[in-house]
Amino acid sequence: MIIAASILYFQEDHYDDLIKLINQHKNIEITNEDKENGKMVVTIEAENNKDIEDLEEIFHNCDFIIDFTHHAFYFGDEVEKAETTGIIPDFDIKKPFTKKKIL
Amino acid sequence: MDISRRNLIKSTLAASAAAAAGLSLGCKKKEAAPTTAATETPAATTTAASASTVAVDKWVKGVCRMCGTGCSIYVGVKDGKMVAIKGNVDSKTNTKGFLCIKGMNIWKVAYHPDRLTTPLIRKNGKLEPATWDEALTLIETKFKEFHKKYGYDSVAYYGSGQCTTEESYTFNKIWKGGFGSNMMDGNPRLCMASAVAGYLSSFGSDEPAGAYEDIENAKCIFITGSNTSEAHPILFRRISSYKRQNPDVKIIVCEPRKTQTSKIADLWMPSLPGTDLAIFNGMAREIIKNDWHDKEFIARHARFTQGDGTEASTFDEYIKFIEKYTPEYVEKVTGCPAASVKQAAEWFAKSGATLSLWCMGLNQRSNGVWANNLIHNLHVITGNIGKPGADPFSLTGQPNACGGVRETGSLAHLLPGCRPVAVEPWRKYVESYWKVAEHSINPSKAINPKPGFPAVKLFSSLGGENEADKPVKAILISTTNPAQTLPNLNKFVPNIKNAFTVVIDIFPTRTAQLASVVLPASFLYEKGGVYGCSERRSFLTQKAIEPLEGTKADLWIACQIAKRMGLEKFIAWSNEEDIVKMAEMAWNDYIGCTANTEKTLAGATYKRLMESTTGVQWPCPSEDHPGTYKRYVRGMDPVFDDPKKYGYEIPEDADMFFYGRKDGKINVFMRDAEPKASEKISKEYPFLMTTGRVIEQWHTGTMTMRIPETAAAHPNSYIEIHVNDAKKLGLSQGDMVKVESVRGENVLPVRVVNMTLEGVCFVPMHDQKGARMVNFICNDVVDATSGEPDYKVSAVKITKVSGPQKVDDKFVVTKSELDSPTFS
Ligand code: SF4
Repeated sequence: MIIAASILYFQEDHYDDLIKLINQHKNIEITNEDKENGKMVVTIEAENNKDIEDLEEIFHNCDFIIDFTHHAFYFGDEVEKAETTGIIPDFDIKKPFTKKKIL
Repeated sequence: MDISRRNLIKSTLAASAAAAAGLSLGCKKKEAAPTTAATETPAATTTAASASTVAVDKWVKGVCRMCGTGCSIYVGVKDGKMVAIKGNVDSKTNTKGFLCIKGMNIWKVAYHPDRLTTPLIRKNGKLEPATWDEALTLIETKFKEFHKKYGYDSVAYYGSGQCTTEESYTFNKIWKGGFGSNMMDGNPRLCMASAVAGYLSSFGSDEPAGAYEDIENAKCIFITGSNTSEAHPILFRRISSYKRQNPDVKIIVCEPRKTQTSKIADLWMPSLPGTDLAIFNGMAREIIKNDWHDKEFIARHARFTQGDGTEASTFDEYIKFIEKYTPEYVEKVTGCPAASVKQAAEWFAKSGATLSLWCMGLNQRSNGVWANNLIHNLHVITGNIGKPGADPFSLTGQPNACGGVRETGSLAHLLPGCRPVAVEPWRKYVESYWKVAEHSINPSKAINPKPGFPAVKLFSSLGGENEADKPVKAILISTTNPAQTLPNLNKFVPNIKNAFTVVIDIFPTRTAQLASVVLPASFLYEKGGVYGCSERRSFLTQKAIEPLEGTKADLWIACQIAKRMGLEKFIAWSNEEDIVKMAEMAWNDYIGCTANTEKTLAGATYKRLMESTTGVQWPCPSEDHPGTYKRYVRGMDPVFDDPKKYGYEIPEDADMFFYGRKDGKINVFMRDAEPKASEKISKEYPFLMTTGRVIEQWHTGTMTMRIPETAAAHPNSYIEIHVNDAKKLGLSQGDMVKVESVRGENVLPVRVVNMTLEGVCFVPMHDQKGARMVNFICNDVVDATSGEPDYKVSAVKITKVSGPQKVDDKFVVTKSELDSPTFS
């Protein structure tokens, strides 16, 4: 499992829309927000980076999201797996990979 | 992981992200947060400190080494392992501490099972495990033998913009001072040597006047020869968020392909590969014709010159010279619409502060230095230098190409301080600082005044003992992969194989497959060291974890070689046991050596670098100096305070003075746009192929092709072809084609696109699979001044081989393939 702490920049008048969007994703928690200035810190629990990138894709496709950036990653469990199995954790390759957005 | 621990980890990371976003920890938390369960919400009462110790034992600062940007990070260490990464909020590079996907995945490189852990020696054609002593003894024996038999220039070093500054400086000192040989170069020769020569010929001093900070002060950003969005993702984020907040800022992108970078552009200026010099001259003509030039700046700071810069000329001559570059002529030569040339000229000149950014697209060209000069010209005639937001700023492709290689002078023609080895006073100074007469093993007891061979010539001259025409018999290659990165590989692969080649790396590579000895290296975070990025900023990565068992730091290896070659006293840190102490001693020697140059980092002591969360920008002459954002400006650049100390003369009334040249002026060159040696299309080879990068990969993919996410996103190379060309050739998406130049061929899947010009195709450069290594096709013609090869213009033919085939194999050279370099 990876835990990411990420920052959402959004149009202030779409705060409610953002909450609705976040509510659709059980693995996202809001930890801090500045409603007036359109900023929010969220943590994301994910099986792998692919899950996080999928989320990025969804958020980037919303007009009211100005930016979605990652600040920190915790991957201690993954390191343990890599060390014990010799396998670098991968994502489920059965899912089609969507090339992440640049912005 | 239990819930409470998970929540504590989240609290730690969230607190850091909140600081990055400028949110106070006391910010109201979303009450109805869409959590999986109330109990899983990070405990609001948990203090950051207690949470922090649950997540990690310590955060150790460093630099991301996965591209040339130089983002600053913290590595979280728990029980001696890297378990977390976060951006450095104080960073001046990745402002707000943002990181991209490659940076976040760096740990997968450190813990990858493919890491080399044993020295290998080739015996009877096979690389076999050996002890460190056996490997180093063999290297010592061979080096001594070749020195005696063929002279000191028969043993070469080839370094990298990914070695630490301490490592590059040490190897440089061993070779140039200890062996009396300049037969050493580095992979920056393949990526930014033209930028070095461009700054030197225009300004008389290497590296930009400005910094990344200029991005947020610019009113117009001219991006050319750089797909910033993919090659420097976090810088692109800076540019795009600045543009988003300041829609009036103009972004111009001048590139043959309409890349992701163009998506934020107000104007995309297409140009056929190799022709953009005509655009730059055309913009200059338009600027002067419309009276948009800065007459005062020109009068005070421009020196018009013909030829190589020795011959003075006049502004009127310059106007005459560029007269032929009418917008219509430029359109004809380059494919860039005349109206776009006019528009770009206007924005460039009239914005108030224009910043140019470029990278490999200008440098990796047979006319790369000239292209650099013409960008500088535009800045001089419009007065876009020396003020916030205005600068001609070359981006580097590696995180320590500037600090480690340019500034330490670790190229064949340079000495520390980026000053030419041929310049006697400086050479004599370095000789005396290093005490070469006392320590050198070369009977000359001096630094050789003759430059060594730049990379392409070096590898052309490399070969076996039975090859009389190849004077270089041995080479030590550190942290780079020339058997994949050199152009026209068919020419160089046998040379690397036939010579006594020693490779220092963390993973099996194409070059390791050809080596006589392979030495397993420690990863950056297992040893620490200084990296200096494009903006003259040196930043210390502190050792975070112990080296993987069996591996050694390059600095330790350099010191072992120095000791065995009789240079124990010359490299004073070679007897030190602790790698951090060793690095500190090497750094101190380096900053002492360059203290009297404008590259001075005398004030950036190791102690200061250890404490600093921002790093230090040179010139920084003393510990109380903050470092320099803008060079050449009185009040900002400390060289003005005591110019004599640095060997310069600056008039007391000069507010701005380009001291690199005696008259304090910048050369404005008359450089014709005709590509001097660029390959032309012909009936047989009707397409122009250019090469470049994608965001998911870096360099030869030795690291990024081992990260599952980035490998899956870009598992193989391909060739991008314009939709109309594809129609003409009867090609559909995914068809396999043979791409041939006069030098070599690849077999690649086709990607049909409409974002390139007709007749222009593009292949990324990261793939290790022999049949997809694009450098078999590329041209090894070099820029006559910089020695940098032209990877951007090759004439090719394209023929269909078959329908789509599965080639997304994420190919990497594995340990078991070290003995079978098939390159197919
Ligand atoms: S932009 Fe480059 S230096 Fe920054 S995090 Fe990404 S790969 Fe690392």
